[in-house]
Amino acid sequence: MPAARDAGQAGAGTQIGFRAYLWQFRAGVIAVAAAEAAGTAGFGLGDGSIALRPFDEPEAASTRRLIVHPDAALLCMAAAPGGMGFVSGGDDGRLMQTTVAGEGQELANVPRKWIEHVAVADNGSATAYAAGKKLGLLDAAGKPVATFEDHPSTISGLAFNPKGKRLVAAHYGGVSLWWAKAEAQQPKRLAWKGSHVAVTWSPDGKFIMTATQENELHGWRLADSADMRMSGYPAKPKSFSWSRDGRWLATSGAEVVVVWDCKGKGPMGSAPVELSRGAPVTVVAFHPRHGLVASGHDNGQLKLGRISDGSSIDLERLGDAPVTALGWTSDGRYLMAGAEDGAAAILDFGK
Amino acid sequence: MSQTPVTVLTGYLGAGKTTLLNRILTEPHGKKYAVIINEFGEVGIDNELVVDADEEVFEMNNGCICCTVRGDLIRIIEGLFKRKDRFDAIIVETTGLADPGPVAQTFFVDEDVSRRAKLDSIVTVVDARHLPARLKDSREAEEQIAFADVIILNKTDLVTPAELAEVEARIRAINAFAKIHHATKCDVPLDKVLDRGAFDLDRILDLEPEFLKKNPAHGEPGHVHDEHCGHDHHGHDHHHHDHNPAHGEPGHVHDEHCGHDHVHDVSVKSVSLTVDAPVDARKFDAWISELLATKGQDILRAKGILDLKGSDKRFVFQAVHMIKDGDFQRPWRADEKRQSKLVFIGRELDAAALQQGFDACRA
Repeated sequence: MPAARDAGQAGAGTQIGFRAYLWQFRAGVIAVAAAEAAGTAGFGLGDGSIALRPFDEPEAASTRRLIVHPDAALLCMAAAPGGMGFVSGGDDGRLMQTTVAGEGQELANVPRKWIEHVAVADNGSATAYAAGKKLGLLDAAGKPVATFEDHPSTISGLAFNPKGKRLVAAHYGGVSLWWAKAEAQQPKRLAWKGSHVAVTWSPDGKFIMTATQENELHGWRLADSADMRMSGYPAKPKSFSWSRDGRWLATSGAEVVVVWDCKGKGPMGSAPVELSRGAPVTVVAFHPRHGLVASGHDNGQLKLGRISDGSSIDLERLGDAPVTALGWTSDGRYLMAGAEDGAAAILDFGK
Repeated sequence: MSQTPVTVLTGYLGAGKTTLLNRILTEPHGKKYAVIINEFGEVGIDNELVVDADEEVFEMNNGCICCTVRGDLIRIIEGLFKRKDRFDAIIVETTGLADPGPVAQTFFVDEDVSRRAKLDSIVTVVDARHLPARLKDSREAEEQIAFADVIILNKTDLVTPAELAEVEARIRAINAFAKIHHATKCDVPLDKVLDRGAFDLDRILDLEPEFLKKNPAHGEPGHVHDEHCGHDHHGHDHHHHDHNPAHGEPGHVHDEHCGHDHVHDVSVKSVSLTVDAPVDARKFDAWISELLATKGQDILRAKGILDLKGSDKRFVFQAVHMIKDGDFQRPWRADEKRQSKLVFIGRELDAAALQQGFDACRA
């Protein structure tokens, strides 16, 4: 049953108000995404289903569920190109595209492998997935374009560049950059010793950042392939989110949201902005319009911090389990969140 | 959240790992297992949840030169916990060529893994007939014995009692502390294999070499000579040589002195140390830290029970290569001899120097 709460949170000096709608699903939330054209939030769950909640009917008594990976776990999910549904990968080795209406299409099937990562280009021009060492590239319609297998280990993260023309795969020893097209090619490698466990490409195209096994953020400045190391995290900074202009990079992995200023030559050597101190931060999501960062914490707490003055407020607490997924709709009105124990929420910040 | 126990099953191809695995999975115990098998594994695992692993050994950039982890395990264990239908325990099967070190270290080094799962024990299946040959040509076979908490000496029906005694003595020379179970088709009670708590500090009870509990008498086949057997040893381990039955005789331990043209010399052994006076915590910490930092590559495993000055509780300690872990355990009992014991399993261990270092930790 949905539980709606008014949560004005009128702390001194803040103007932020929102309504929170909370649910408890029967399996842990792995990922959240919005099918924006269909006005629906999707919560990808550990039982292989996607739970749907319409944004304009937040108090609807029932939750529609798409059984996308039967008898399997969903491992990754993104909004599908076109905004009518979701692309998801599972431990059944299948990459599925499913509309909110329930029309499913199998985009790839890799027997005995897990599909652990999926990325959709911002402009919807391409989709990529990773299964073991294999990177699969699909066009906007979901048709296979190419597969790239030349990786030294299992792929641990995927990201497109802002135009969707290139993509980066993280793995042991660094990252590989591929052109998002069918031709045979050698990847450009950016090397850094050790295991890289997540990757992101800045919205201005200038930087690629990874989280490492040694609890560091590693970066490459693409103009000259210069390395950047940002250390001091107590845990792996596996969740990242950029401000829309690419200046700020918010990261998880500490008891504050660590936000790096990537203006100019990059963040190395400068002190980061620290926001929303509390329990260890597990996920972060930059507001798509304003200098605000939402964070999910180890204890189920959601917070919102503001870059300009370093202030933060508590938003809502999902439960006691770590927050595992967090995302804004592109207009910045709704924040979707989910936790390891299946607790989930949509926060409506209004127009 | 309680940590899910993980049993690591090692042994070379054909030793009987799959037989044991299928027994674990099919006997009626009401438990659900997640099984992580290697990609070259034998077929026919009868279980709902089986995951293929690639055995990706990753070096860590943390200044610990021998610190390697299994990247695939980190990934797979995290992935398994995303499933709704949970399992009671995890079994990791490795290839015969796998070094157990990175597997064990993964559970101590990676916090995302250790939050959810804990190493229960390392179980090594060896084939009584083929082990001597494997020890000659494979460093991994030796490492798998050295790391083991439980060794299943399988296919004992294929060797004579004298051969069995010899092979057991060779295992003991490498690892004096593992429990050895004889078996023909891996037919050991599963409670000897599962839920051992071998890496649980609370369950380190004693550090008597296993063979003392059932070591055949001196002069009998299978007897292993050690510092307890009443000879006039002075802590110089090469004295063992003098007492080693001749090559080819039952109980002979092949070592660096026996003059074979070994392709691979068995080089791992166990060393047991005792200090009868209370130990100073700071001196011990400084000594063991330095020792592991400099010799950690050669020290595969270490365990200790210490009588620290100023505490009425037993201090228990363990290490895998350079990674150490220690805590106070239960109080010393009145009927218990308060002393400090340390055991090392490793290569190039100088027992006399280690004893000297340990002695210097007296309070």
